[in-house]
Amino acid sequence: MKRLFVLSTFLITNHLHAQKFEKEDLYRTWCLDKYSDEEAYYEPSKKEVGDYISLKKDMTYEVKSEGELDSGTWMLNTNGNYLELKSKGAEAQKLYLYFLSTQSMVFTYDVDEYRIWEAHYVSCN
Amino acid sequence: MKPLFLLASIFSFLAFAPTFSQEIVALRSVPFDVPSKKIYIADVYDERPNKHLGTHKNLTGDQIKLYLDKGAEQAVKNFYEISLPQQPDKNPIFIEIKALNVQESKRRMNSFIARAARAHIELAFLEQRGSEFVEIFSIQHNEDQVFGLYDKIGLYATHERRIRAALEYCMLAFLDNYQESEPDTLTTHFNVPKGGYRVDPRLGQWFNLVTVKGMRSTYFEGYAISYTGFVDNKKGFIRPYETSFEVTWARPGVAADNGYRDVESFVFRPELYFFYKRIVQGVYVSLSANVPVGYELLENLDEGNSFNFVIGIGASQGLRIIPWERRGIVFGADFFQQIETSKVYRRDIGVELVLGVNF
Repeated sequence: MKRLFVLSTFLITNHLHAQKFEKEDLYRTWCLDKYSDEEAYYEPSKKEVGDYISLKKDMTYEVKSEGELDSGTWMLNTNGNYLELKSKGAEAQKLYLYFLSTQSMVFTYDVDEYRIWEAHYVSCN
Repeated sequence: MKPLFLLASIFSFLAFAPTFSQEIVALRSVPFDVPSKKIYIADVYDERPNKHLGTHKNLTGDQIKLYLDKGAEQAVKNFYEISLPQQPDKNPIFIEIKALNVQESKRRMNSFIARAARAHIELAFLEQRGSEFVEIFSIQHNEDQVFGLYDKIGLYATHERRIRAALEYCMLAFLDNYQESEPDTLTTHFNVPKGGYRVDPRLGQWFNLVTVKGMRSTYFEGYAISYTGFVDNKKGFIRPYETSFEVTWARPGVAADNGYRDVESFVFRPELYFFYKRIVQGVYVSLSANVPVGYELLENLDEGNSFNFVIGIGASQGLRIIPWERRGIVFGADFFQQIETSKVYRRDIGVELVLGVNF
């Protein structure tokens, strides 16, 4: 039931965020800190310890996800509030930004399995 | 008689004539980061046969047509001008709008139903060479977003944002492929895919089916009522969402053979796997593996009743025919097989006849 509630409301708050995201704030290495839903925060699993996303100024990125490395190119869509990550041979991945500062980045994955969770990353630098 | 006829004519006209009012969408002026500023947009031409963004139900439930404020040509030109202001030393680029619309549908998400929104766009970028316009880049793009089933307001309020996002995406892709761009600003992110930037222009149509099934198996007969929702898809497998409730009772002689006066069974049927496959328009085959779960009400030969919890595993293969896409009747048939913890049987096979409506 709780899951159903979260699911039914998961994006109600999405369009209320009016922050305009600056590309310059994204150029850094972001370390996975935690996940959250409407109810609570969750620690990353053991496999995800040390996961990061490194967004470079030349518009390439490197990512460590569940310990596995991947790389490709990225772009920011300012009007759509999302990042698009493309790696070779894989479908483009969309990350909807909720919050961005020089220290912290919060987004959701545009994938059904993870859609209801927000991923919180902090600057590793 | 005449006034009655007149009244009936007026009524039928009001009931069936598509009366659409208009709603206007004004694009917000949000600039985006442009890596190469060698161009400006000299003019925009709307080549669409219909100049609206689509027919929608607004938040009060009225059918309306959405239009861009000031018309698509001016709205798109103004939007790009904020990020790429007109300057004499820049190259003029012309844009043809081949498609621009917003759509709404539903789809299955995990084991629930979600709302799906799309802004679909197709743009051609042209340069003027002498008196001729030459197409130098073209792109089709979808901005898709998923919303909770009850977030109709959130979806409707953000059509405008997805149009802006689509316009931004197309411009970034164009600039990344524009030969005159500064080389150090180019990335490989927007390398044109083989066959060009092509996308599916329409979100699949969402079907709601409410059906009644008449069931007959070796041991039981009865009926079921089901709700099925699915997004139509010409290719590949369709994953419908379904919930159903069955009431069945033991066929003549079956209860007595097992030492009961009567046996009734009440079962839900959550699915493990459930697929539709479209054969031709309006005709689908279905395959399912499910877990029947519920209880049996057993009337003993002597006084008293007892309950039996039933759980099992089932499979079915069937056919659904939906002759009318928008609204109409649905009919079909299923064969099913199941193994259950029933007091009457372990294995059962049967057939279901399906009749219902789609809307």
